[in-house]
Amino acid sequence: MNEPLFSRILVANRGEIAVRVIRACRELGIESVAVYSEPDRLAPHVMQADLSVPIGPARAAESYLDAERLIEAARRTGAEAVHPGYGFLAESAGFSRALEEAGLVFIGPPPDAIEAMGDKTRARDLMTAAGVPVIPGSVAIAGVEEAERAADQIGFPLILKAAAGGGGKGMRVVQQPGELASALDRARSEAEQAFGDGRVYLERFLERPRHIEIQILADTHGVGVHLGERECSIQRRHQKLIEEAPSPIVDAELRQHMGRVALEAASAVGYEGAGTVEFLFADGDFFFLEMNTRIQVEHPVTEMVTGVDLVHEQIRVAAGIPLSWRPEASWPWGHSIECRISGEDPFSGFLPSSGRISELESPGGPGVRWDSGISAGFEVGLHYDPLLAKLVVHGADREQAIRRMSRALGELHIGGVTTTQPFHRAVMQERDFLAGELSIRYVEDHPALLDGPDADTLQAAAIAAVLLEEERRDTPAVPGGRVDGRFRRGRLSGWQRAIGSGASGWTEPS
Amino acid sequence: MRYFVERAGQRLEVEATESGVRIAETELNAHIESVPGSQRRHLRIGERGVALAAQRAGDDWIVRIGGRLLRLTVEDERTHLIRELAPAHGQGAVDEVRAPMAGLILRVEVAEGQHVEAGAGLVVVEAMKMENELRAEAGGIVERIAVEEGQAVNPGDLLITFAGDDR
Repeated sequence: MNEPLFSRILVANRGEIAVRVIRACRELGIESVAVYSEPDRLAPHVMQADLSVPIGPARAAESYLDAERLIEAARRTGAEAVHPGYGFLAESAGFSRALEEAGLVFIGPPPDAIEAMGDKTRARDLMTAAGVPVIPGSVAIAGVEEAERAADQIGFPLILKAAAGGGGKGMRVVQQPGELASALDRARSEAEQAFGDGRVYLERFLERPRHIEIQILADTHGVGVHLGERECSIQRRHQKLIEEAPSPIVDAELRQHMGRVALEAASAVGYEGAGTVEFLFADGDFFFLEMNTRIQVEHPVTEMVTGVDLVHEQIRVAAGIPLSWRPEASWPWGHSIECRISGEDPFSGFLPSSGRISELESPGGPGVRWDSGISAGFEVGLHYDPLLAKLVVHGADREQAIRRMSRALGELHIGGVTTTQPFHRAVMQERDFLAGELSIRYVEDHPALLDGPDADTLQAAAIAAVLLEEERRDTPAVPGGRVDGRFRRGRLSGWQRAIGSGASGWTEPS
Repeated sequence: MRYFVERAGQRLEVEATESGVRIAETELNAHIESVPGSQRRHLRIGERGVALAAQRAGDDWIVRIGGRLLRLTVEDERTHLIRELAPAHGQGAVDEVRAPMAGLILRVEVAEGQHVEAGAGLVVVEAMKMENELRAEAGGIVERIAVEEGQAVNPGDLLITFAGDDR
């Protein structure tokens, strides 16, 4: 509170990350400015911010992705800095430059660093030059013949990735030469659509690697630190579902080694601010995957095991303040797990679901953190990322953290939208997960996670349904409207009657 | 009254009694109470409590338990018997593919009159910035394509009808 940071920050995002940044602003005594598209006008991030500005219709291209409108909103409200969150314009060097030209501070790395890491083939070359291990792969390719030649050298299985992208879009695994042409087609079309750049490259595909990433933080005075790793192996179609810190297989020595390599990777592009260097880990080796030049969805697990508030630090670094602390030898403290609660139906191939959040009860109690972008009454549409909230726990060790997550998931109740909650509950009891035996194929290797409900659950549901059906049939017709489901077999207690009788003048059936 | 409760091919017989239910010869003391103004219910089986949410949808009950949605068809004995005795219908050779989610039709990968094998890609629907390919569950002949590329669809919208063959 004693250092002058900013007086007002515009948060160029929505959902849980916008809420997260607004919370940090409030804690630092900084006013926050929310921006919102038309359907988001009553979203939690808008309700919680000090100021808010409408920026357009639902379509992201005309709202959250429209740099001009965002800059105009910042001007109008006198914001001095812009926090981009993740997704949308968080990794747009053009947006960062446009802010600079408008005299605004971009809370993130320099545009050159974004560009260097954003172009995946260029990033690979830079990393190779910096001595960071990378997976064997090709340069960006344009045509099928070129892809076939590259595939001959790399071998199968291989993976196609968008040169301009991340987050799973435009990625395709190719098992055999015969599948290459059609996979290339689809990957390029997805890449073109998601990033406006259809270039893809090929890479050797590791069968069962783990996804382990290092959180780094660098100030504008040449000091960089790492905050240890997160393991994010539980993914589906390259979208992370569950993350934890520390990784069950990383020891202190490996942590320091990976941390040093991550800092080398970051310094090779002149990085400033918070960033994440992602690695694939297999058989004791780790390979650079990509660097995410922004705050990540899963940053809370690192916060839980280090006590560092990464968003506070992002804001401090952007204000030019030197890092005033160094990593603690005692890190990581205990164990933290995050489950992403998404509006997706795990039992129907994780298809997106939408609807109005009719009811919301969030978990609490010791060691529980609930980072949410939803509230009761809020309409979940299909315009944006399906992530609704993140449930994060902290425990003394991994076992306690897992038990705590299981307990907290049991307390969570979201009505109106189908979510990934039951998937997470199943994982928290699965043997390989409990043993820490993870790989990025975990979900496909454990199809039983998506099995039908156990016998007890089904029986309880059936009993409930029958009792409710009996109740419904026995409910007397009430003048002025039906009173639903509050009576059992016509025998009413005084309490039920007081609550249930919106209309007067009817008598208890004998 | 006796009820047949069905979910995804699984069936339970549950008899409602004065004090609760009888399942497979076992008497269970069971009550359910609703939290006023909400879908929240508290089921008590003996002294054991189960927090859940329930909502009626058409003729079914949708029960949310542990975040999991279970759609249960609850039929009383009489209705059940009548339906069992009635002749089966709606089992023609025509089959349909409907949109499983809201999204945008990116590509239609088949043509009317085309014969497709089981597993063949039919339509690519974009939702949440991901491309989702719908595949044929069985082989057959594409009779009609009800959508075109670029069209927005809602869950349940008809996309393709099939005729004959291995169906």
